[in-house]
Amino acid sequence: MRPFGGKNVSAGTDARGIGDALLRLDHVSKVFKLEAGLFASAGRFVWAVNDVSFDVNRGETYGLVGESGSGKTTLARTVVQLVRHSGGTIDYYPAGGGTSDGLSPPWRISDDNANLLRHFRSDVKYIFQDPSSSLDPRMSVYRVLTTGARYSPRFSRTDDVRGKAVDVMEAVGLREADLERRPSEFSGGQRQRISLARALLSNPSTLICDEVVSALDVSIQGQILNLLVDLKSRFNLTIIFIAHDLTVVSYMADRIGVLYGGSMMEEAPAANLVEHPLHPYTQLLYNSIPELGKPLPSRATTPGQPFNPTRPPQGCPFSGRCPMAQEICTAEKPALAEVSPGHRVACHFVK
Amino acid sequence: MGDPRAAEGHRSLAVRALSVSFQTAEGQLRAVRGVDFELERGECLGIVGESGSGKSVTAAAVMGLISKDAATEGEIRIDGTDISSLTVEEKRALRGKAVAMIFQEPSRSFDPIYSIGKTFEETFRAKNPAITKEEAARRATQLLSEVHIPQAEERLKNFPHQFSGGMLQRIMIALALANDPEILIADEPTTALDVTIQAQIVGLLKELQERRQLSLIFISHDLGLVGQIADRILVMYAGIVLESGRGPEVLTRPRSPYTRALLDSLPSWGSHYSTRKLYTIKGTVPDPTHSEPGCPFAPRCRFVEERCAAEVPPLRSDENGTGGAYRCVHSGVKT
Repeated sequence: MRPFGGKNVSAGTDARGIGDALLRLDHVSKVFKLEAGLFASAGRFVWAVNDVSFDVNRGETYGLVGESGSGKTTLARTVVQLVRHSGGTIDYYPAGGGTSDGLSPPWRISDDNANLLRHFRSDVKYIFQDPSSSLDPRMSVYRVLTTGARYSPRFSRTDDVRGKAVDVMEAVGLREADLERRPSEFSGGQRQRISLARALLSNPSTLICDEVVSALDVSIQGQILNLLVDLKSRFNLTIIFIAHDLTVVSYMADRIGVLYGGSMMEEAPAANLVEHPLHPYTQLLYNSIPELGKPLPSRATTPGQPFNPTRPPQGCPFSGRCPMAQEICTAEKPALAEVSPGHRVACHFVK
Repeated sequence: MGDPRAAEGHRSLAVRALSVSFQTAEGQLRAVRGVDFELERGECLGIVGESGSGKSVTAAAVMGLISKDAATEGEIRIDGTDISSLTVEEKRALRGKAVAMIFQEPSRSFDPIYSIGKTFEETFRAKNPAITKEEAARRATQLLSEVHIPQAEERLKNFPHQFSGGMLQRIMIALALANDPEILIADEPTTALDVTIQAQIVGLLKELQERRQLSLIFISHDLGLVGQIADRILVMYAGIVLESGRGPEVLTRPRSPYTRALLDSLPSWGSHYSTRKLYTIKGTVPDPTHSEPGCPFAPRCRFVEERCAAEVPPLRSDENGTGGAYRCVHSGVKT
C-alpha cells in the first residue's frame, strides 16, 4: 500500500517511488453547496470529489475515466483552479525548476496566489469538450488564439505573437489564412483544432483534454486523437486525457485512473487495466463496452442503487450497485491499495 | 435489395425509394436520397450513420412525422398499407398501435407536471377512450414490471424528475409498448446515458424484441452497439445507404470503403497509440444542401477515382454470398 507523504512534500521523490512526478494530487476533495443564497443554511452538499491522490508523471498521458457524476471533470478543473478544491493539496513540479519570478518549486496550486497561477496556467492548458461554446464567435481565430498572450508571463510586448500563431496553426493542420476567419466558419473537428492551437500558443508542458472528441462525428474523432498523439511527441507534452469511453482512454493513455462517485477505484498502467481489470466497477465498465462480436451483457442486470453525491455512503461508493458487496462494503470505505507494481485497487475483496 | 424468401405476410415494413428533402435558406436540403429496406416481423434492423446521414429523418418518415412542407417521395408500407395515402387522422391512428418510437433524451420526452401514472392513462386513452382509471393503472403496472421497474405500482405516483435517466428510458419504452405496437423505432435511445446503463437498456430492447416478436429499428452512430443488437444493418451516409447486410458480419467484414474507414478510424479494445496509428478519414461530412452527383463518400475516400464522381454507384450484392450489398465502383474493399 502506498504510504501517504506528509502534507508538505518537499521534492519530486518520496515514498511513492516515482522520481518524475509533474503533478501531484494529495487527498484532493471538492464539496459544492447545493443551495446558494436564502436556503444555504439548510446545508445540503454535493460531494463531487472525495480524497483523491495520484501523480501525473512527466511526458506521460494519464487517462481519467468515469461516468457522469464520477467527478472526473471537477477533479480536472480543480487542477487549473476553475474550481477551488475544498481539501487536500495540488503540487506542480515545473520543468527547469520553475524558480523564475520569485517562485520556487513545488508550486502549491491555490487560487490565492495570482502570480503563481499566471505562470501555472501558461504551462498547463485546459481543452474543453464542446469547441463551439468554448470559442468566442465574435472574435477572429487570430484574436481567439492570441488574447491570452497579453496576460501570459511568457509573452512580452516585443514578441512575435503573430509568427507564433502561424506556427501553432500549422502544427494543428490549419492554414495561416484561417487566422482571419471566425470560429463559426469551421466544422466541429476544425474548431477543436483551433482550441488545441490556442492551448499550444504559450508553449505549455501539459494539456488537460476533457472529453475532447465526444462532441465530434465518428469519422472526425480519429483525426483529433491522431493529432493529439502527434502533438504530444512533437512538443514533449504531458497529457491528462479525460473521457467516459474506456476504449478511447485505454488507447490514448499510458496510465489510467478509474473514478466512480468522486473516488479513485482503480489505477493501473493501461496495458494492465486492459488485461486485468480488477475492481468490480472497472469490470462492469468493461463488460458494458459495446464491441463487435462481444455478446450482449446479461439481461438480468439489475439497476441497483446508484451513487448519490448528496448522500454519499459511509463505505464504498460502488457498494449500492456492486454484485460482490458484503456488509463491510457499506460500513467501511476501502483504501486504494497496491496489488502489483503500479496497480492500485480500492476494494475489500481484491488484494 | 428485396429478399424473395420474405413472404408478404411476415413483413412489418417495406420502404421503397424513400427520398425526403427540405427547403432551407441555404437551398434544398436532401436529407434522404432513395432509401430501400424491409423489416421482417420480430427482426432488429440497425441503422448506423453519422450526423446528417439521414437515419433519423428515415425514422421520422416511417412514423409519419415529416412536416407537410418537406418533399417526400417513395413508398412506406406498414403491414401492406402505403402510409402516404393516409389522412392525418389515419396516420395518427397508426402511430402507437402499429408503430411507436422512443428518442434520445428520455427526460425531454415526458411532461414534467404529469405523474407517470397519468402519462400512461393519457396514452391508453388516446386509443381507447373508454378505459377506466383502475384498468389504466393495472396495465401500466404490468408494463413497468415488464421493463423491470421495481415497485411498479407505487412508482406510478412519481413524477419524471424522481427517476434517473436510465429508469426514465425504461418507462419510455413501456409507454411506447402501451398500445401493443408491432414496430418499435429507437432513435439513439442510449446516447444520453452512461455506458453501464446503456448496456442494460440495449439488453432490455433485445429481450422485448424476442419475447413480444417486436420488429425493432435501432438507430445509432455507435457501430459496436449496432453490431451487438441488430440482425441486419444499414450503413447510411449523406442520405444514402452505402452498405447493408447481416449483423454483425457487415461490420466485421465490410465491403464499402466508408464502413471500412469508420472502423479503422476508431480505437478498438486493446489497441494502443504506441503500437497502432488510427486511420484518418480526411475532410468532413458533406453539406446536405450541396449534394454532388457522384458517390457521396468519394471526396474522402482513399480509393477514389475519376469515375466515382460520375454517379451514385448502384447497390451491388456481395460476391461472397453473405446476403450483403454495397455501393462502390470498385469491387469494394477486400476483406
